[in-house]
Amino acid sequence: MPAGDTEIRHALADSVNARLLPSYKRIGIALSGGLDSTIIASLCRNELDSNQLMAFTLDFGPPWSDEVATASAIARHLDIPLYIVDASPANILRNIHPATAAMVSPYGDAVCVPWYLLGKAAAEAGCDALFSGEGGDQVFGGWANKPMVTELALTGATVDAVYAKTFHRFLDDLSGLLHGGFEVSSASFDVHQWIRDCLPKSATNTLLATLRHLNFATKGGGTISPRFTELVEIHGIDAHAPFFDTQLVAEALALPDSSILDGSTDKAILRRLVSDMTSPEIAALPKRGMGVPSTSWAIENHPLGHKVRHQLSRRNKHRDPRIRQDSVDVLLSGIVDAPDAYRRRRIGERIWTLFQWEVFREVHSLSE
Amino acid sequence: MKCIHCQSNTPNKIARATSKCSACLHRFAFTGLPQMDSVVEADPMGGRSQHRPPAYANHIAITDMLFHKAIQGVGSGGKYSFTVKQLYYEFMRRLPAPAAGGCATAVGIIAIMPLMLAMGVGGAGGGTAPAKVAGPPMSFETFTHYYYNQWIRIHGEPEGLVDANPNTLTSTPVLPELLNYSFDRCLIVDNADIAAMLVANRFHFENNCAILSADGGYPARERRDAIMTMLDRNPNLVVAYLHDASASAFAAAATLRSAEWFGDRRVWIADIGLSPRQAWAQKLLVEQGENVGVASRLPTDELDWLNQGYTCSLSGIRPAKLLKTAYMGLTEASRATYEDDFDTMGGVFLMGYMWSPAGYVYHDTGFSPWVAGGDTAAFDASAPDSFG
Repeated sequence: MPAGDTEIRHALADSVNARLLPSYKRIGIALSGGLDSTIIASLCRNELDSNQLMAFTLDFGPPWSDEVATASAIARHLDIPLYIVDASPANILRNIHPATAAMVSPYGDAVCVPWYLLGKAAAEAGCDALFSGEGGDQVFGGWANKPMVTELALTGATVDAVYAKTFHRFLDDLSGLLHGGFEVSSASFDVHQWIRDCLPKSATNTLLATLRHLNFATKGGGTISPRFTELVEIHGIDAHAPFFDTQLVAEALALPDSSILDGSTDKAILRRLVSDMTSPEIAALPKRGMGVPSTSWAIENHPLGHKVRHQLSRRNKHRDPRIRQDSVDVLLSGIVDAPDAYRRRRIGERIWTLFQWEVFREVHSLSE
Repeated sequence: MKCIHCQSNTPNKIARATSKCSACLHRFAFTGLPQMDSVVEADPMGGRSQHRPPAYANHIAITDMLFHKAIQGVGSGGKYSFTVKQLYYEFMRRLPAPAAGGCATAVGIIAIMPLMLAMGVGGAGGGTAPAKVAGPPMSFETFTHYYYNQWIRIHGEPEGLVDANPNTLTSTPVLPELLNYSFDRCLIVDNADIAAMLVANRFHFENNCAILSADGGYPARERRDAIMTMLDRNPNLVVAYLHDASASAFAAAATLRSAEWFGDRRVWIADIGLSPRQAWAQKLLVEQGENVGVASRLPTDELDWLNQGYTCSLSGIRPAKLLKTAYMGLTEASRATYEDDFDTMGGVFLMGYMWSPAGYVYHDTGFSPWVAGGDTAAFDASAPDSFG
């Protein structure tokens, strides 16, 4: 077994075990069928009987249901009962307001309501806590680092400049939809300085360790973990993301880069662990993690799409007057007039963030 | 004459006398007259144009607003980075074509008037070779020498213009530790300026994709060698070659199997270049270069067209469309490797340009439409860390 695998496996198990409180009678696991949630499910199963565990997976409805088959196979293998959570556009629409009410920040993307639904399903099924694989991407590399490696290799830019590009959708593209931009992108906020402040203090870090450190410090700890927690714990149960454990993070950041990105294979160590913890067949299943069809939600012809379009249209009297109608109209027509326009998901990402902003204003009765 | 700064109209007579907007006093770069009528200097291309007025003297009123709209058009209102060559083609599209045969330059350029007839061959559709040709308003060299440079003198460099000089962009060495990593895919394009344009528009960033130019100009040598080393680390590498419709480009596709590129490595290489039929269908300007001759599995009419020395540049396509096409081509090329075990693994799979009319696949017996593989939903779903 390559150096570090055993230590990480132990650190992961310790992280999960430390969160399996004796008072819990039943544990829920958010099982998307990706590497991270499979590992968490497997570690929970090592400690608990089958009847103490329940797995929950989201069904976004056809043609977006492919996660269900993978999650089912994994749940069967681990002998954990699997519950399918309705994440159809109709159910997203029913839950957009209560989910947004649970948020303390207006900045949300399309995973917020699905997280809320997972927490709700776990609470209704009698679980005391919901465990998730959130954080695996930030701590163990994941696909998000590949563009930065590509940018560094092709252009020779500095690490902080490259990292700032990962915020371009929020700071540049989305801000272009509002006159004056989002508050966070105002002149008083210097994203480059913020990133430099978050850089690891040790100069001995490898490039990937530096990027992962930044992922953890800015996105993981700053956005993903608190948002997941608030959207699950609103239902009266505990939310746990063992990948964000500080001891585990410290050990993960010390891993050799080859354990994270082996050639073009990312999360190399997690792939080995999944194979070791489950079976080669399970490890070979296609694993993408949770994917949200936000573009379909935003522009297609169903009540959720109608709600999105109404919320962002001039007919909405309470709409943020700073919204640039021309830009939003282009987006809602299914076009992103931007250099990444060829990727359809970018449409949904932009619209949904703006929509979430609007719903937040509505729910919290904000006029400013 | 309309001012690009304040939108005010200045009477032509005053504009020509003062070269300034009467409202805001900003200078005009052009005053609506053919710029070179009174200039003795020869067309920088040399050749026949030294002995007669430049072609653009045929009553084309060049104004600042016309040029400004070309800049806005090629960059889609400032959203895309573009090359000077792309701006040139955009500008040409906005000028009336002169009479047939009016080609002003030594390396002639002709505009095609495609008839858009359905081919009905193998269902591929598309255009047919142009029945009528006409000279363009001006050569690229004339455009840059007399118009583009004049614009810069008065208004400065357009926002979004790509610096295609790799020596200023990519000549610093690659960090040694980057050599441990690789790319998901590799896109090779003909020219350094197109490669630089794709990078400026973040194509590499969105697609985890190395971008190299076949002419060796992008990136600079120091970085290029490192990137080839990184590509070697991906055992499932997919390479797509996006190129002009030209005999030399089709011939160059075969060189990707040479030792200088990928040799006999088990690499999937797909040719997603612009085919003559696609060029005809898209009404692109055609340049006549040298007749180099090419052997290819292309249909006879396309091969004949190429072997007459006609070429059609990717630069004639706006960045927005070119980026989308490159993405579609890469996606389809990647999908093909997973679903098919083509015998052509040792060669270059001729896939066709991924744009309407649909890309088409060439066989020994003819060609058939390329059917986009299955559901693209998997590529479109948002990942959890959608700010990442």
